[in-house]
Amino acid sequence: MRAAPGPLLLLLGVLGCRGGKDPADSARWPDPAAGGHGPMAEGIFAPLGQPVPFATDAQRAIFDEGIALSGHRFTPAEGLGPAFNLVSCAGCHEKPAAGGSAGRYRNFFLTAEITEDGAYIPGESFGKAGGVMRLYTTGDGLPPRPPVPATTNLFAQRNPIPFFGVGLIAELDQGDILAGADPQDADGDGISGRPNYDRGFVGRFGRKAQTVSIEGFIRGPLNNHLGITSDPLTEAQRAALPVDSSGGASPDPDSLGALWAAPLQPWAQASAPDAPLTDNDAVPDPELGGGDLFALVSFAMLTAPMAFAADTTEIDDGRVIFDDVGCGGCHRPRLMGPRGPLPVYSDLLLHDMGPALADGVRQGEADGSEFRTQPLWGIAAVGPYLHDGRAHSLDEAIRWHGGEGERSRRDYEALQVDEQALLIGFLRSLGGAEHESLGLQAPGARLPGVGEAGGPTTALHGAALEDFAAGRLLFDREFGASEGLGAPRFNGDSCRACHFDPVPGGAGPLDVNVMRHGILSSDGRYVPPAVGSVLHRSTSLPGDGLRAQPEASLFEPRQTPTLLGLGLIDGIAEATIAAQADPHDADGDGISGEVSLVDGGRVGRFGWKAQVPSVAEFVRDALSVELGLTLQARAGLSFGQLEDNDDVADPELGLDEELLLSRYLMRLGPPPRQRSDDPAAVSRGAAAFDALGCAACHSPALEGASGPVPLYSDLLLHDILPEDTVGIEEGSATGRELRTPPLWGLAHSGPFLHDGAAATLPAAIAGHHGEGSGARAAFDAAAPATQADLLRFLESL
Amino acid sequence: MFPHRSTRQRPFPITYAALISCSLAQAIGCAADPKADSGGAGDTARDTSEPAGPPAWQPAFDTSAAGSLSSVWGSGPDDIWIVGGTDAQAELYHFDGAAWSPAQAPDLPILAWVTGWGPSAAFAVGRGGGAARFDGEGWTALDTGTTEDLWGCFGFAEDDVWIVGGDADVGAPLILHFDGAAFTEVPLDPAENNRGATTLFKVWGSGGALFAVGQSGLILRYDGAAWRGEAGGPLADQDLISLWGTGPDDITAVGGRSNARIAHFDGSAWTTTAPSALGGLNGISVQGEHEAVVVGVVGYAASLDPATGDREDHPPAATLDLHAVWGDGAGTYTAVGGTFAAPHRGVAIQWRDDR
Repeated sequence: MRAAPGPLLLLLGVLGCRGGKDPADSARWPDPAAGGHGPMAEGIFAPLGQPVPFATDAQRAIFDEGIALSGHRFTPAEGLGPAFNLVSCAGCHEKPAAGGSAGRYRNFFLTAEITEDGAYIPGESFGKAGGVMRLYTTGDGLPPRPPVPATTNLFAQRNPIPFFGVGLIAELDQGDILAGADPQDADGDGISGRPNYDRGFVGRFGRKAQTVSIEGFIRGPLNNHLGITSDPLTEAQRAALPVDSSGGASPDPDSLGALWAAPLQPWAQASAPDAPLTDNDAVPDPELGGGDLFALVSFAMLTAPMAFAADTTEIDDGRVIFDDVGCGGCHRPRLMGPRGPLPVYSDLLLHDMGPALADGVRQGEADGSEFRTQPLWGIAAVGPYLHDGRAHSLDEAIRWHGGEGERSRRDYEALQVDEQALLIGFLRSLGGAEHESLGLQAPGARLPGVGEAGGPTTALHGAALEDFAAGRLLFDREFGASEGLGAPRFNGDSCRACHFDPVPGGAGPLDVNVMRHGILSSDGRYVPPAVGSVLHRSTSLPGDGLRAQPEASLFEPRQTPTLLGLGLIDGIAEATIAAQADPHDADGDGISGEVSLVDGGRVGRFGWKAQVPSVAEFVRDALSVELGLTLQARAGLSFGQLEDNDDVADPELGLDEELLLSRYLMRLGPPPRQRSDDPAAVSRGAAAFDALGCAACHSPALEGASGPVPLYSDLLLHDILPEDTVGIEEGSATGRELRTPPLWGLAHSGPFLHDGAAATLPAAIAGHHGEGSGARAAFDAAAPATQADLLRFLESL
Repeated sequence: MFPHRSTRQRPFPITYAALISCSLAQAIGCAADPKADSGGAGDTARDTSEPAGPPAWQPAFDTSAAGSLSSVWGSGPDDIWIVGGTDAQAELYHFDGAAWSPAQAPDLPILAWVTGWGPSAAFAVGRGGGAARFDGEGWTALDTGTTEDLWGCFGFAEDDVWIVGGDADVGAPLILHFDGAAFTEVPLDPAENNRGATTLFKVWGSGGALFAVGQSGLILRYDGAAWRGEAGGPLADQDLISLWGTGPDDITAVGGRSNARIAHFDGSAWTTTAPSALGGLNGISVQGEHEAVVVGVVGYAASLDPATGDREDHPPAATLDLHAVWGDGAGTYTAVGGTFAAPHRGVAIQWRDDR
């Protein structure tokens, strides 16, 4: 008996003699295998966020539907969870637009157990999710942070992968991918790319080319990251996709033998396994309908790559250096597709990238040090780079290349600085440079004005306006590990990473909740962990498993509040806040607001526990705790970390930048009130707000430095959680005490409550206990019309 | 003993449809050169005038009205059972040597596996804890006492049946024993579950050896008192889905979902391999030390030498995933497959090895 090639080679034989769009028919194309840059297929590029130019009207319509769905934020009522990392697809694929990548704050973790006999078993995280670690759960009685099993002994990170142009890649004949393979390095060039395989087809998507299926690449993350289940597309739907993924099976089940004898379609590789996905939440499966899934897959397939820059002398020079350094050995300039040569700048093969990049993850036939050559089209706009986003720039990415890429890296390092710049310039010419940003803010983005969300409190001019704009940019700016990001753990790589709803400086959805944790003592008390109460969501150390302190048994998510109007709150005198307090409920109204006293006796006013006294301290606290950046010591300020244990010299952020951020937040205007189509109802609601007792804690306004500040908070601590709650203690706040959250901006700051557990305002009201019980009961007893008026009023804030 | 006719519905003939065997070649359009880019696999349509040609699978019967087909077993060439169905209703098909007929199925959801001991003794299990027994007259549902999915069954005798299953996502693998009258859950020590599996897929034994395989490469052996975890090696990292052998020192398990795994037991240890460029395998039928047929995803089928790992890939046998294959010992193999997602569709194909 002899070994024979798998069905894929037979399939190649089949494809090779099919009629239709055979690119080899076109004599005008040079052979891409020759490795040159050469001409490329026409009509494949489109402006950012647009479908490929050849999309039909119907496809454009479904593209629009899909792109809207990609931004949809799922709620628990729609099936989000029970374990999740994200509430929307666009949460991870946002940079520079839907379908792109994201900063390191959106990195996710792959985990595994390497067993005693050496097998790689994907780790569990509140169930099986292909090794994906999940950070959050929904539902009562579930641990807010899914525990990491004790058997898990491998951790790796993944930065969201952009998928511009994946439909074009799906069209590629796998024979052309195989043509670039040289698994034994027969040509002795030190590069030995080999294919990965998925169900017998040549893999082409994912950091390790572990899949061929765009449908699977959407259904999988929807399930693993959002907890949204789906059924496979039907054969009819697959046949109708922009890249026919029917696999040739007849949609007519009554056709005798159709399932057996139908010819395999050339695009069978884009289809997905036929397994329905299920979970154990209360929402019936599938949680995503077939029509919605079809729209999402279509959107992905139709998303166009960004156009290349027009050639210049510098770009030409950079291209020559690209070739001289040998980048094209793996970053193959062209792959032949049915529309002509595709300038993917990837061979889509696996390469050993050396021990520094090795992550130990095995997927398909890829081992722990092998990665797929990342396509370079559009690369400028989708940083950070490499599989885990560790490279903050293209230069850093090149310098991380090892293994088969080591020789090119050394050649690059040996270049003169201006030659390196020319090479980087060439890479930037491959699309996306006009959208390149260190954050999410597009270059040249308009600055909001006074009265707009994200605008300043008062009109700014000249240097003050420039200062505000610079602060906004810094707020949006993503930091890399080479700049000190992480200590080593962090929650965000920028300020905007958590505060972006609806604009930079705003609130954040469930999937950027931060987590506090603690230890429940044997006598039922809260004990702070030795590592501090913050349980971060990411780390700058690739192998750090983000385990909680083993004894930790209390976990408390914290929703991201809006920062709009922070400066106005800063201007409220301590005495004004203290005047609201009634710690012993002397007036007998059941409400006993207490001033939060921060070290040294300063009045706390920011944070869910009012644990931070000023904007200046808030900035220092956030930069250190959330981003892991060290700061310069400042007289009179006690927050902020002065040193950490990474290799970046302290302070990692200069005083000028810290002050710039403080000034920006001090000037950031309050959330604009929302216009209502029923002002009378809003007025009635405002009256009900007082009458039902809401205003007892949610003081409509406090006197600020330049007039009343309509924040709807007394900035005091109140016992507001259920009586049996053992929560995180912080500052002078007990476990059940929380600061009255300001209600301004409520229309854009959901979900609600400190842990984001309330998806709606009625749910938030229902979550009031303790000192809030009276107002909740009054709301429950109110007439439905009064309740509706109150909700309208709240939404108007 | 031939199954009682009264349990069957209208029979229909075997459909070795010549038109279908031709259609693949026509569709491919380049079959004139049987070796063209096929790696020597040759012509894709069976040429009955040349018995030595490549294996050519034919539809066993019209499955256009069938649900997903999961398993096939027979006591001989003229007594073959196929089980499957939909989420709502199990389906049974029987071959009596001349024709395939649907049989009256108990009121159970889809059946996943069938085994047996003779023409009047067969046993099947399925999703939702479903189980049924054939006594020569008809199929009768059994109360297993569980609602867990049951994926595999094997019995040394009618009163010594092992059943395995579990949920793919949560819980622990389920092992049941049926003594002919009642089901008993046999505990699995979590420490023996060296893959953290939540389900087992199949169980098979011979000569006193009894093995079960399951999720993430889990291999268990029953030592007469308890189930013990076996070391499958570094490549025993994907689901192992089915196993078969010639005896206690020659057992082969196959699996993988996206990438195939083949594990072989030589009487003392398991060795697992990962053939390159091959999708997951779901079923195996071993007919001799060097003779087996395996089936897998996207209609894959191949002849396999379990001892050496050499294999001869068959021309595409189907486009649906194949789940199981059974050889009758007389040269004919029957394979079944389908989609587990609604709308369920099934395929049943046969190949006679005339070489």
